[in-house]
Amino acid sequence: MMSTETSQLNLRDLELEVAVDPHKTRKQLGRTFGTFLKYLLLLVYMAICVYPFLWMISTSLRDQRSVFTAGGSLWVSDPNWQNYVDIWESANIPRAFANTIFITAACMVLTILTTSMTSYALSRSNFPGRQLILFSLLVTLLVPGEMLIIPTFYVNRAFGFVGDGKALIAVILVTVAGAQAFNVYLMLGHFRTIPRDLFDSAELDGETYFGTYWRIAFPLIRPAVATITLLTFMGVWNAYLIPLVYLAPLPEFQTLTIALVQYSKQFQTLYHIMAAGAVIGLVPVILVFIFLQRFFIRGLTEGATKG
Amino acid sequence: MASSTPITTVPRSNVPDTVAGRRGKSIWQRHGMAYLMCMPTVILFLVFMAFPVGYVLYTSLLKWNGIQSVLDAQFIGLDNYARLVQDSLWWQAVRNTLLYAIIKIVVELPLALMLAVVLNSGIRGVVGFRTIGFIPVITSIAVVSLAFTFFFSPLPGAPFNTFLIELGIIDRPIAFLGERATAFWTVTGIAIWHDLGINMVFFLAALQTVPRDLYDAAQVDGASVRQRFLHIEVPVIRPLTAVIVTLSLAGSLKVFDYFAVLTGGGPGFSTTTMVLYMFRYTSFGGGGLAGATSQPEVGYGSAVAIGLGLIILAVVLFQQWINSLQDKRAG
Repeated sequence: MMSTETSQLNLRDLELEVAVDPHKTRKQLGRTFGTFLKYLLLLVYMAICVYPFLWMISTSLRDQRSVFTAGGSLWVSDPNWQNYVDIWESANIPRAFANTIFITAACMVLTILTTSMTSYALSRSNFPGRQLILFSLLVTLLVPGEMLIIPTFYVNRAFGFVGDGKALIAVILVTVAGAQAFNVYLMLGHFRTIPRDLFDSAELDGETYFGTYWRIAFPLIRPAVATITLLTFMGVWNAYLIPLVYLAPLPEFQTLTIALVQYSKQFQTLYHIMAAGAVIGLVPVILVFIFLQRFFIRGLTEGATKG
Repeated sequence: MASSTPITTVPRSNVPDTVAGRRGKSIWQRHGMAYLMCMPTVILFLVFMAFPVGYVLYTSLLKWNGIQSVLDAQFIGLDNYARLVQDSLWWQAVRNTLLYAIIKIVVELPLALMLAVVLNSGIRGVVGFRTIGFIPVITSIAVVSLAFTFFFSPLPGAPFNTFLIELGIIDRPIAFLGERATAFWTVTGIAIWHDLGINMVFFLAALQTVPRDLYDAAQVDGASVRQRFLHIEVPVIRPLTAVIVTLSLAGSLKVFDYFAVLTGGGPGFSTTTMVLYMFRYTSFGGGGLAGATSQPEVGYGSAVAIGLGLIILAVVLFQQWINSLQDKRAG
């Protein structure tokens, strides 16, 4: 959509300059040179963005000796796929995948459900305490989650969510709790755009309060749901701090990120195998992003401008 | 993220309850379902936000190792805070964090703006460039950092040193992440690499809201590129710039992942940030940080947590205040 617009602009620029006069041609040369510089700048930046990933992939295919002779070259003459098998087994990647998928899915579903129910009720009804909830959530936005790492750990310990598989619950609860304020406000903005008559008439037709939410309001805020789903996916899949607190000492329950970092502490010099692990950890997110990049970018910019 | 929301925007209650038959019932009959639907959020808020704020304030007054029962811990009043104020390592962590936040704004945001302006200047393939420039942003900081430990190492075959030596910039390998003089700058550089794309996308989104006819008019009037930038683009992106600075600040002051994985806060405490310093006094994550204590001091760690919370709050509010001053000046 963007690109067609801009290419039209280019065509018009060219038309304007068809009439040749010496003054103009010099200007045109300057402009061509400027365009060249622009592309050069962008290409250099793209190379800087992509090169580390390509290097990671090539390192992941080397053997232990050629890692130390590669010197930044991307070419691998004799790919060593065994590295992937090694990391897959020694860092218990399948288990880590399962844990990560479980935590990510749970956080997505719970965040969407809790925040959409709350913002529906807040935008629809004026009950005593409504202002208090809105105000409390607003204050939460100012409290950095990092400040609460210590106390929430002991809250979870009191619940018995520390030290075994139940630590997964702790990670999910802390993450979902931390996501409430921002996402409630994001959703409120969307619920407000729904005409109130729609709710009232649905209710007159015999729809319940909850039914109006589930069958009428929720489907109408699908763009917000998509945004929050993607942001949550990205945030939770990549999370390091909270899983580190609860899962680092539990090999069976680590997420991918934690499993890879813990593995690297243990086998510091096996860079080719660590690179294979990094590729395994990064590929799912990069794939999801490439397929859904429009939604990602729309969601993130919306989060920044409207949140 | 949305700490940019001004405090004054608590939505007004413009919600009339006019559905027939609702009048005269008890609050519970009228709003029971609404309360039920808010319940999960409210419980999460009370258990994982409100109570922990009070709890961390309380534990910051204790001499507590986090292992014994909190009820057995010795109450020492404000001693932890007295210690915090005099703790030169803490202030070094504060300095490191603030310096990191400032560099991220001063270096990363202008670069991002420049790239966005170039992308918005009638280039072909904007979507492609934008997608590729965004890839670092969506990748896990911890996992990427893992790969970068070798990338920047002085070992033979490590790319960064090899390039610099081939270009003749240095003549022997440098342990970029292992030396005091370079570790902080290297990690900051990696963070800029990782985060630049998102700010580029933010600026690009703002620039794309500039109406086309403004550009046409500028062209008719023969405005130079510089004039066009200063008089058309800058006014449009100014409000969003405030948001971008706030987001960048709020994120930078909480920085943890890059430093935890790349340097663990070392060498010495030269790359320790506020959150890393707090971690040092807990037993979380199994250590590996610079100067991690063998005996956790959760009471003192709680005071550090309050300290970092207050500093983040102060910086963000200060920046909001500057914004509001600028808004007033701009009319």
